[in-house]
Amino acid sequence: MDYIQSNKEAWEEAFEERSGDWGADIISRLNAEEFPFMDKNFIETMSDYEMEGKTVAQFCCNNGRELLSLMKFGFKSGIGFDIAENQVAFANDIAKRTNIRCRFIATDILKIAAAHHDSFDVIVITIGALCWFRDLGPFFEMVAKCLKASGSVFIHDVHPVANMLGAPGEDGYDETAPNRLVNSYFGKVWKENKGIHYITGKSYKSKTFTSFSHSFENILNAIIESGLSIRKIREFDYDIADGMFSALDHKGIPLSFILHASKS
Amino acid sequence: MLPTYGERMVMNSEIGSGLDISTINMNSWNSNSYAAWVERFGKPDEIARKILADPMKMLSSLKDLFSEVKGKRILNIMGSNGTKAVALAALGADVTIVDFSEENRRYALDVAASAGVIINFIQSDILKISDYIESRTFDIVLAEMGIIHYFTDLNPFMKIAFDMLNKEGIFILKDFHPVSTKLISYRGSTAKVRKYKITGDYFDKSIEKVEVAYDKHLDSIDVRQFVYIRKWTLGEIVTSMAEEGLIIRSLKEEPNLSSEVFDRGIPKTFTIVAGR
Repeated sequence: MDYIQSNKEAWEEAFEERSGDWGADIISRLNAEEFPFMDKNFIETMSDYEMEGKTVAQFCCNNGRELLSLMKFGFKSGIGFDIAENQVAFANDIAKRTNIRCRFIATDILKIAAAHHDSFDVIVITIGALCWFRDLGPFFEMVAKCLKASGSVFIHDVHPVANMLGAPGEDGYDETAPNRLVNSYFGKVWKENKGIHYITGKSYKSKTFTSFSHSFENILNAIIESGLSIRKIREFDYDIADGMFSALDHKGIPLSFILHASKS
Repeated sequence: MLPTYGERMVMNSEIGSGLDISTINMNSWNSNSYAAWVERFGKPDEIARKILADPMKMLSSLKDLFSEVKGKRILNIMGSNGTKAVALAALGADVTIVDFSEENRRYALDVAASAGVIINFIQSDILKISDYIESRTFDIVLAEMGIIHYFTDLNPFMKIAFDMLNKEGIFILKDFHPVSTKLISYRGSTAKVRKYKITGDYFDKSIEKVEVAYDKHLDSIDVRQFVYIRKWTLGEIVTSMAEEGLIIRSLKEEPNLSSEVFDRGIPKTFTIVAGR
């Protein structure tokens, strides 16, 4: 089984094992907050550009809550793509119940149908997307294909430096010195069977997740080679990985970044 | 707002002597650099012979970017001792250095003369290059190793690079990687026991006083020279390039190229290639 199929099964298993309250706050927070589930600096970065009436997609959209939130920019329509079929069904149900102009499609990102090419003014990629692809070249080729001329991609992800740090439970991690470097900047492959805690709220022996860290060289060159131009990189000293590096928040360590690129 | 490299802003006495950063840095680079380059590379005729024996070797990790330079017009920003420029000239390029140090100028021109090649050396603040050269002149603009930290605002520097490129030209920026210079420290003198930690502040915007780069080659000198520098993040570097119209074509992040055992897994330098 290839790693993408294995990850699909592991993600669908995580959804089946989800805790009872996972996703239960989506509708109430969408009703009560301006941009729930979104980082304020990411919203600030996107706010520099006109979104009203545009079309948006999210690659690797999980349960859809971020795309549903971003629709508050006034997008004309939105489509979320994710490989986990049960997550997508969940997201479509929320969209239907909230009457938000979004729909969600279950697909391997690398196999998004040609009908969606040249379709989006904006594509959003948040944490937990790039790490599931060994080679970012085909991933950003699909981003470029799906963007309209002069379209933009906004990325919000873990900083490559954060991937050099050990995470709790990882070999080499020292809780008395969480700033110790244990991984190479230039990339690492993780194979794990510890499940997805933020969805399930528990430890369980899961199907195999395979993920990859990427340097800025990997990320930028894949974007550039797809035909997009880098416009901006903002780096931040706080964790966005569900507390994985939060012990190092605001200590001068780059833990997350936002990148904007566009078709020329 | 911080003063830019080219501004003649008078700094307070803590910085030193009522002089601006640019003048302090220029004075430091004019104090002993010729002697330092002799210590580092040998007398001009000695290094000239080495360069001529293998010009590509002098270009180190940049050699792939200079595989076809014959007849190309190259601007070497802050080209210092001229060893790269002379190597490029030996490969047939038409090379201009812009650097504000008289001692660097003398050494670079002495090396060029010994090598039997011609380089053009403009002794000037790079931000004033438009006083000497028209825009869109060069096929390649090169800035390498220890350049961008001399600017307290990167945008004017990137604008110069953009302005100097002709339509098909490329800007090559190679410098120390911010992850190494701003963030990482280590303990242990051998590769086997060396442990790395993040102890620096990647987001520190302060101006640091450090020994001028060539000082390490001058053990016999009692009076040390200092310069003031501002270390930039990768995001700041990339964004300032994009803001000034440069289209980034590639980023290369390199480990320690001088050792097979030390600093594995840590980016030590980066090279960005950009065009108009």
